[in-house]
Amino acid sequence: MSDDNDGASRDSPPLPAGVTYRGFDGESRLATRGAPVYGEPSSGEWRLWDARRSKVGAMYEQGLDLRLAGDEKVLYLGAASGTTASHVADFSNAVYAVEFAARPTRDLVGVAEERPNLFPLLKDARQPETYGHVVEPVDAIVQDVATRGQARVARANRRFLRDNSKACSPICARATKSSIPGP
Amino acid sequence: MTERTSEHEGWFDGLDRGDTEAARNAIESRAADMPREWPALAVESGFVASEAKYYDALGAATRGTARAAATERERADDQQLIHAVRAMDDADRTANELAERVAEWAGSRFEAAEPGIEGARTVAERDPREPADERLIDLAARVVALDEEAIRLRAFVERVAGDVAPNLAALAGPVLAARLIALAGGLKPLARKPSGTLQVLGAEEALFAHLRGQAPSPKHGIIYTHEYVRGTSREHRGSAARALAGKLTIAARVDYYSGDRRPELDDELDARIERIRARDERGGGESRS
Repeated sequence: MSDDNDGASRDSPPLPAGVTYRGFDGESRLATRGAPVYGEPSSGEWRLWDARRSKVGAMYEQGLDLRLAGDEKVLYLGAASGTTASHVADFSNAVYAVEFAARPTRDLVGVAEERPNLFPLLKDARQPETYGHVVEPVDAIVQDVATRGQARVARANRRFLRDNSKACSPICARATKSSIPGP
Repeated sequence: MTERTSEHEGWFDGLDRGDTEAARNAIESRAADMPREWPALAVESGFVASEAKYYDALGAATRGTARAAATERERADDQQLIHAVRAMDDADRTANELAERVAEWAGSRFEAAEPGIEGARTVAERDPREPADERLIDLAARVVALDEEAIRLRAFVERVAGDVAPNLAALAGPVLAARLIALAGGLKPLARKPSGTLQVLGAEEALFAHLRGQAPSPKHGIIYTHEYVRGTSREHRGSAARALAGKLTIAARVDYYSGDRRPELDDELDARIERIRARDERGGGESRS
């Protein structure tokens, strides 16, 4: 990350309400308010959002505007153990967290125990009809699925977006070539 | 898995608050093509008094369901998979063997008896006229039933292999993955084997003949059934088998030690086999990548 980029992220595009820069060990780092999940440092009720462990965190650190104001309803595809999903839940109204693999889902449920607005679903994101009876229309979709055909997954889940919602941020994981500059 | 209700029902419709079993069943087996304003609908239908209460109920239901389902899937056990794939092979083999007997017997009584399972199916549909017909037709019906059981066992293996070893099942195909696990005696022993051993699993006879100095070393065992080995030209089949075995070994280790799905393994294998097959087009087998 270059210096001017670093400076830009502090002022320019707005962070969602509930995400802010706080001092950790004398360094200003991204943070959200909530119970710690993976042993990250906290300061008061704020806990560090480690951009190296979370692609959404990294996008904010890079100054990308995800067009989230905070307090949205979010469909999170590919929640894995819930590292990033927990931070998103900290500043969202409700997060429907879809994960397909059994082992990370166990951790995800643990994270959800502490967060009444995080709803874990052991479902396949390629088959949205299998959770259409649980998930309500949402304001934003965050996608972090490590599978082929990520575009197809995004298109299939478009049906969950409210008519007036703009934000849809598919995050390409290693499974396909990343279009997002890394930190 | 039996419950499939109207497209317009939410997970909560018709449920009693606090019936966790029914809630799990509804979340897991119902479906809806389009999302609806479930919180408002739940209040309207009287399932909950307020939207805040709805989210409490949703939280309890989704957490309970995800926890129970994850535990169940994690318990999916390699030993069960081994029993199932062996039973599938036994059922297949026995059905074919008995079908031959039926064909031979039917040939002596009826005209135009076809061989195989299809022949047995035709015989099973006949009406018996004599006591011997009865025995023959009964036997044919058993062959058909056994063949159907083999098909059900295969479906079971295909489903469970992906839970037990997601990466291995994706790379090898679920049935070959199950056979490899069965030959090794479990996922753990398979994950601990070197790639060269996995490559010749199922070719033990040829391997020991080779070790006695009587035969060339086998190029492949059961992985021969994989399209990437069988579909590669003879000259490069050894390379393909070696490459496939290498990736399958990695997949088995990821499955045993970590358990998460690594789709990049699929791409690496595809690319590797493509390079090996490209040697044919260049008209030479000189280079080893």
